[in-house]
Amino acid sequence: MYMLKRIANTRQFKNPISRQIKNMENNLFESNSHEESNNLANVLETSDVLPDITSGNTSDPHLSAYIFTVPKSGNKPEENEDAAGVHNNYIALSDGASNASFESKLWADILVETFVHLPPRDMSTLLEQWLVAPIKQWKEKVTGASLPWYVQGKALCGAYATLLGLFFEWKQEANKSESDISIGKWYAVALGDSCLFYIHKDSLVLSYPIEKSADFGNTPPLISTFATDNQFVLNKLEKACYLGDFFLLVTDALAEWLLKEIENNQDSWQDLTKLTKETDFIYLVENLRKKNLIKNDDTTLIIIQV
Amino acid sequence: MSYEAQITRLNPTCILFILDQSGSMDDPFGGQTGSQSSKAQHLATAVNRLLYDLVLECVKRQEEGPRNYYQVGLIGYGSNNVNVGSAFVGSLAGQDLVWVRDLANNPARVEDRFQKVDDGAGGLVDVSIKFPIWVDPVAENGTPMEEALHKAYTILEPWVRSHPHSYPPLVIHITDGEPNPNTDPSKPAGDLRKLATDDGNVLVFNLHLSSQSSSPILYPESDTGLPDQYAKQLFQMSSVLPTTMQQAAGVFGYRIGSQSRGFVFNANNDSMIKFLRTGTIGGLQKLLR
Repeated sequence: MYMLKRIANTRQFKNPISRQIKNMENNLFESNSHEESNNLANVLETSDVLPDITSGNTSDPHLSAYIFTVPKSGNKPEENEDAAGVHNNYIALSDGASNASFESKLWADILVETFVHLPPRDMSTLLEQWLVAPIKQWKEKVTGASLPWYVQGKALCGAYATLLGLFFEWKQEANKSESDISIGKWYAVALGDSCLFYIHKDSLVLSYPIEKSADFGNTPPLISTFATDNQFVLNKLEKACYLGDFFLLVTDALAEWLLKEIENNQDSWQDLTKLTKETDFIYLVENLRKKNLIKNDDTTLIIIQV
Repeated sequence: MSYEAQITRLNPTCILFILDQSGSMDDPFGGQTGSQSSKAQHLATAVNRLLYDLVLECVKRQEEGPRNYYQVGLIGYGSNNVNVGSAFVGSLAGQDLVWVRDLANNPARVEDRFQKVDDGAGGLVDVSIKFPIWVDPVAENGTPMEEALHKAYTILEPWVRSHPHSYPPLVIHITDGEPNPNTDPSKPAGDLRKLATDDGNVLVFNLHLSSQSSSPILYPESDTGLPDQYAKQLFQMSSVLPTTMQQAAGVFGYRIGSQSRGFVFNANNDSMIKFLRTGTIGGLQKLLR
């Protein structure tokens, strides 16, 4: 399991803020009355480390992966609130909310780790059930009577984050040298504005879940540490997978820029698929920031190649 | 464009409250009778609660204290002790401006208060929360409003010079009465509104607490319909709400126009709490980095 460093971001989330307003007179902090589900904590304690993600190798022989991240300009790496992880055929990206959200980075980490190690058995199940263990884990880390008043108070705000998950199912006897025949299926699930770009035969086929740059102004629902806020059913995207396919998983600032480029018939996504060094990624993002082409936000890219 | 500067630890902003602590604040809100809490008590609770929220807004992670995104000041006027001066009590007493982190670590005391919370099953339960106190209710003497606004000017004039790229300071003035005779608070209020950073002029918002049972006049765009000269004067002293604050007021369901001023006349407790939020966190939240 490879985890990223992350930091504070620039985004606004209607979800936590509207809860905060609701809490002005009625502060909410529900007790977690659900049954303790699985042994997530043990899994995370003993989680294996990927061979070396920065070299593109993964523990799934079908996939190569790179993960790059850069904090918002002016912030320290440990303040980066994005989280990303790859484990076997499961990949996840999460972007913790900055406003009205506490320990977002911790929450994003937990969501990513849970998704890649203990994914929902059936992606169409209610998120609420799958989130019992991660919520418990988050709460255990942020509660304690000896903590300063403002930590106790902020914990009542809960945490919010996006989640973008990608996973693969391989055919038993796929012809691995024939690029026209599918070698399996890929699935994506998403909540929030972290975005997946799918590239097949050097063409950008789709972006998910956001298709237009204009849709980034909207405030999507996020995954919350309040169980009652997570009454979502995950919509699953299911497609055939071919040798040579590329997947880019990106947080919102970069996703918005990519969609704008695509809308202007620019194929900048091609540059991203070629990245192999973190320094090149940082250079690219800093350049875009200087030109005011992307928001100053924590920015993360996962590149997956089949 | 103005009022768009990102609020960072390098370019923080400043929020200065001016609190009427004159004798009439001892009365309940207009229209209420019997042993109601006084306006001064409601105001102290609302300001303590807002400071609580302002601190929490700067808390991101357990292992790091609150981030210094702003300095906060409380000027009281009318009380016996100070006439015009710092309204902080406890170890911050006498200070004009304090950083959020110092605010967080130095309340006069922390009380246990109960709050209704969602029990997760559609009901409400009481939960104890830690409630820090920085200001106590005070209601004494006259209403030296002009002097208090001038004091704000002397604090913010050097502040804008030393923070030229910051989101401009916010001045939130809360009063229930008319200024002392033969004084004119609109002069220092005008001086305050002329102070500026690169990102815009100092914002001055005025909240008038009701002594009558009439409905509040919320964020008016003109002084038409305001009941008297005094209300018109407070309107003239108030800045137009920047876009982010118009949106923040809109969240509460208020109808806000492009020329709406940061001004409420005849506020009750509910409109006071919403005003305080709109003119501070509501408008700044999205700019914090």
